[in-house]
Amino acid sequence: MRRVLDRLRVQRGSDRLLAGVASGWADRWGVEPTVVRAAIGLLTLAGGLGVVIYVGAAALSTDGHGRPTPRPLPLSDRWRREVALGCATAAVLVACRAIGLWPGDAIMVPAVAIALGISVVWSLGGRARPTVGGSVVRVARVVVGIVLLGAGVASLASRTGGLAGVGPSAGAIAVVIGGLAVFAAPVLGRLVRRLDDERAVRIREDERATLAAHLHDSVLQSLVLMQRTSDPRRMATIARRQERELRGWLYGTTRDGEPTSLHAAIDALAVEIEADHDVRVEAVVVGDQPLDNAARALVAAVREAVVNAARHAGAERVDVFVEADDSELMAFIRDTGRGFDPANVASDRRGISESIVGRIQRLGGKALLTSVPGAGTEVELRVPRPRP
Amino acid sequence: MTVRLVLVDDHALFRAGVRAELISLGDRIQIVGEAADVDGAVSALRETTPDVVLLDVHLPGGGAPQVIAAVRDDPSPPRFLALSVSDSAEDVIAVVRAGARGYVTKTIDATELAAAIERIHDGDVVFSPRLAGFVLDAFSGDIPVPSDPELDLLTAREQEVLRLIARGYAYKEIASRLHLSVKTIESHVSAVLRKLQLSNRHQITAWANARRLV
Repeated sequence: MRRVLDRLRVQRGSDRLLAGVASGWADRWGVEPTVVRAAIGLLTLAGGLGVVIYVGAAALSTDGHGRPTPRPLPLSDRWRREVALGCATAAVLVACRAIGLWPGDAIMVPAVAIALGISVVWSLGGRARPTVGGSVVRVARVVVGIVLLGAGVASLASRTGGLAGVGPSAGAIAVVIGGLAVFAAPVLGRLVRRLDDERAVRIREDERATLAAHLHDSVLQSLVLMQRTSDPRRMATIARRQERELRGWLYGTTRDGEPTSLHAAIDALAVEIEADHDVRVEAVVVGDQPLDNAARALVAAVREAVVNAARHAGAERVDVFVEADDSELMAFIRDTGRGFDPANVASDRRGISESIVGRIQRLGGKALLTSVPGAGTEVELRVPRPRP
Repeated sequence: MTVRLVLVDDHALFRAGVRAELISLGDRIQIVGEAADVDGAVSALRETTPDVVLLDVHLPGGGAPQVIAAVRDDPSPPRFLALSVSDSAEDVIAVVRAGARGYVTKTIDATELAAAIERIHDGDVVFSPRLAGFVLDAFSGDIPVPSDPELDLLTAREQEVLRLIARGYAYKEIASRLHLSVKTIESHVSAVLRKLQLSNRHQITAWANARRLV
C-alpha cells in the first residue's frame, strides 16, 4: 500500500493555484497545467470524484526536496497517509456510484458511516501515548467514532424497517454487541500479538537448546576423543566420521543404512560406542517402535548417558535396557563403575543437564539419575508417547 | 569341585580363546572335550559324559537344538549353557526351549563365564540381560484366551525380576532391591525358564518367526 502511495506522490508545482497538485502532475506528465485542472474539474462533476482525488494527492504532495509540504495540510506523515488512504477509498466509492455499481444510498451511506466510525476508533489501538493532548484527541476520536457508528447503525436500522418484526430490541442488542466488539478488538489483537511473540521466543530457545545438545554430543565428543588418541589414523577416522555426521545433520541428508526403528538405532549405537571407547555395551531392547522424533531424542539421550559411563565410570561394561510400547519409551543405562555425587557436577558441564535431562523434558518425559560413589550409576529415561 | 566341560563351537579360534581363559582361572573348570559340529558334539558328549556343555547356538550340520535332543534320553545327560554372538532371538529361544538352562553372549568375560558354568552345574538357571529381554519380548502382548494361564503368562514379580536382569543387575543386587533372598530370585528365574520351555503360547512361535524376517 505504501509503495502505491509513493508512486502517486506528487511534487508540488511552482505554477500553483491551490496546493500545486495540478501543476505538479502537469510537470510530471509533460502537459499543460490547464489540461490537468480541466480533467479534475470534469471528474468533480462525477459525484465530486475530482475533489476527492485532489485532496488525497495534496496530502501526499512533497516540496522540491522530497519533504511533505506544510501547506495546505499541516499534518504528520501518518495522518497524511491516513487522509490519502481515506481519499483513495472515497474515490473508489464515488466512482462506483457514478458508474452504477451501487446498491443504493439508503444502504451505502450508513455503511460508510459505520466503516468510518470503526476505523476512527481502531486506529487508536496500540499507540498509548499518555500525553494530555494525546488523551484529548483520543477521547475526541472515540466520541466521533461512536457517533458515526451509532448514526450509521441507527439509520440502517430505521431504513430497513421492513425487518421491524424482529423487534427493535434485537437491533439494540446488535448495536451494543457491535460497539463492544469494536472496543475489544484492539485489545484482543494486542493480546494475540503478544502471545505470538512469546511463543516465537520459546521456539527459538528450544531450538537453540536442541542445537547445543546436538553439538555437545557430536562435535564436542569427537574433539575430546581426538585429544585422547595419539594415533593419527584413528584421529582421521574420528574426524571423517564427525564430518559426515555433521554434514548429514546440517543438510538433512541421511546416509543409506540409517536405522529406521528404535531397536536398530540402539543396536547401532552400542556397536558404535564399543568401537570408540574401550567398553562393552550390552544393549537389550524389548518391543520396538518406529524412529520418530521422540524415539530419536531418546536414542540421543541414551547415547549421551552411555558415553558418559564409558568415559567417566571406569566400568568394563555398560548395560542398556530399552523397553518400548505404544504408550511409553523407557531406557535404563547402568554401569557398575566408580559413580559420582550429582551435586558435585559443575554447571557448565552440559552433558547431563542438556543432552540428557533437557532433551527428555522437552518431550514431556522424565529423566532420573541415581549414582552412588563407588557403586555405579543408573540413568532412567521415560518418554510418553501420544496415543494415536 | 571341578566342573567337567565340553566346548561346542565351529570356530577353532574361539574355542582356543575360551580354553585359555578358563585354564587361567585355575582348575575350577576342566575342559574334557571339544567339537565343531552337531555330529562331533553328540559323539564327544557320549564319549566324555561331561557335567556342562557350552553350546554355540549356530552349528553346521543342524543346530544346537539337535545336539540337545540327541542326548536328552541318555543316562545322566549333561546340562547345557547356550552361547552366541548373534542377536537372533528365535535361535536363542529355540535352544532354550530345547532344554538349555541358560544363555550368555560371547562378549561375556572369563570370570563371568566361569561363574555361569558353575551356576549351571549347580542346577541353577543363567539369564543374561539379553535372554531376559528376549523372554520379556516373547511373553509380551495380550493373548485373549491363554490356553494355560499358569504357563502362558509371566507374573508381575517375574516380569520385574526379568526387567532388572535386563538392566544389568546381578541376582544379589536384585534380591536386595526387592527385599527378597537370592534363592527366591533364583526360583523366579527357574519358573520363567520352565514357562519358556513348556508354554504352548503360539505367540512365542509366531514371535520367533516374525523375528526371522527382521
